[in-house]
Amino acid sequence: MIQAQTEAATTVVDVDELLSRCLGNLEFAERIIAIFQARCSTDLEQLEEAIDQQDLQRVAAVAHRLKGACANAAAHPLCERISQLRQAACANALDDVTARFQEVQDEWAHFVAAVPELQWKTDG
Amino acid sequence: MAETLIDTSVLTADAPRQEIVVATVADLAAATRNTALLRDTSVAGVCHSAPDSRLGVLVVEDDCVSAELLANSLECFGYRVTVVEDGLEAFELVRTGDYRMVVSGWEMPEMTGAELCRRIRQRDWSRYVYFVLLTSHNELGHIVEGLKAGADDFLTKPFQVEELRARLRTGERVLSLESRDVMLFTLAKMTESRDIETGMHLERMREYCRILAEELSHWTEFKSTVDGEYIELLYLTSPLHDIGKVGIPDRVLLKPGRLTPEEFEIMKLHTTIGGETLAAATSQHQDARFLTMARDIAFTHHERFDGKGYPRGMAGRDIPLCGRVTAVADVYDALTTRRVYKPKFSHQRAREIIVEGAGTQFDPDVVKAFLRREQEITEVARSMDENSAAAMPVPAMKAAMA
Repeated sequence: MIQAQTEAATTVVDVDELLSRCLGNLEFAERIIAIFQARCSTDLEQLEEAIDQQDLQRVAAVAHRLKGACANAAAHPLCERISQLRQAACANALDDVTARFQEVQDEWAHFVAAVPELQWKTDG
Repeated sequence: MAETLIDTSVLTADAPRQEIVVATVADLAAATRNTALLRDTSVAGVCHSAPDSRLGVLVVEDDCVSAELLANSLECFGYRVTVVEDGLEAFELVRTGDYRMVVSGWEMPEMTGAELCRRIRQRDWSRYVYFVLLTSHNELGHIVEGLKAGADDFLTKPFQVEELRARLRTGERVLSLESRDVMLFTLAKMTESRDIETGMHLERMREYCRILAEELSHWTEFKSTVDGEYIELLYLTSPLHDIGKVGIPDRVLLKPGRLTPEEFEIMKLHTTIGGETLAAATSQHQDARFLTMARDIAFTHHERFDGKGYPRGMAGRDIPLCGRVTAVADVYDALTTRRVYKPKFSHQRAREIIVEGAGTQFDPDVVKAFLRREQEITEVARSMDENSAAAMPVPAMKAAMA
């Protein structure tokens, strides 16, 4: 059985789901987390820039891409926040977008804090 | 201060100790842009001197996390995988013919997944490209649009590994059917190549078979037997009816003029040669319905409804339906085209002969179906005659017209 060791980390990533998607390959799962963090970091910068420019179409497009990344990386809480941000952008609700983006950033901070504690082990 | 992304020094004691990897977000972001999206297993780790026989899958996805996960799974399933991030680049790669399957995201820069699919379908490729679109749970509208664009299947994000495997295996089955269909017709054409006078006989008669079976599929007494799959199998396998002619000596098969009784006995053997060859294949692959039907057609397309045909003298409905249908299609085409032993008959004359043969040579139901779809049959005959003439080299055309 493969499991995560740290409770904090399991709240940001569904480790079993991610490992299943990585076919149980721990090294690959770590690589995915690294790529995911890099992707998020870049996309959050792009989202901030698009919101500053009130370009909600771009916000929706970037959020869509990021939502897919979160879903496949099994980062479900972040995925949920980004989904709400995208919905607000699609509804053309700038105030709501700003508020939702703050929630995304909070969840992202939570994720970044928890991931270094992410530990994997195989039993048996 | 640079942010640490992965520090494997915190791995538990149970896991193998690894080198500490420390990277900055910027480093990884750059590395991701430069490498992950250009992943191509057709190059990495494969000997260049040997052709890579793995099935090529093109992953089109601007989200590098999903792309990386998909590519890893597909490689583990044994596919050759290339990842690109936009539809335009994907379209260029599909044009190379190296990819039989595409797994594409929906929203992408330059071109959406649906648009990519539409553009692929608009072109007449020599081989079918199986297209899987990635969608989200709450975007059911995408499925309708994707189907309209020509997508074969859909995969929901986040994807499940087993579902991905199952969907790609389905794609492989579809592609293998295409290979099967091409192979069947190639085999039939090989037989026909020994007897070039028959021209587009196979193309015409499989169309006649299709039309007759379609007509019968509407009749109550045939509904339970003749469905869409039956019609497709008949269309695919009827061209193999004369495959046994490969075993007939040239002096008989290619003899100009009428055969002597002795030569005719030899010619009649083509039904058993073809039937037994296909029966041997059927015994090895008992679930392959197309082989069973091909065998039955080869054996029985010269049987007569009154039991006076060959090779077995079967009668009435003891003769498999596929054989009874093929008999009418085969004879009609022989009558309406020129052969060394006879001139080309008009449709009216051929029709009279077919009608006269109802209940003796032919199944009366199949003849009735023939009469009901007569117009469609003559249209096929006419259009294929024109195609045949257009494709014929000038000297051959002059010879045919002489």
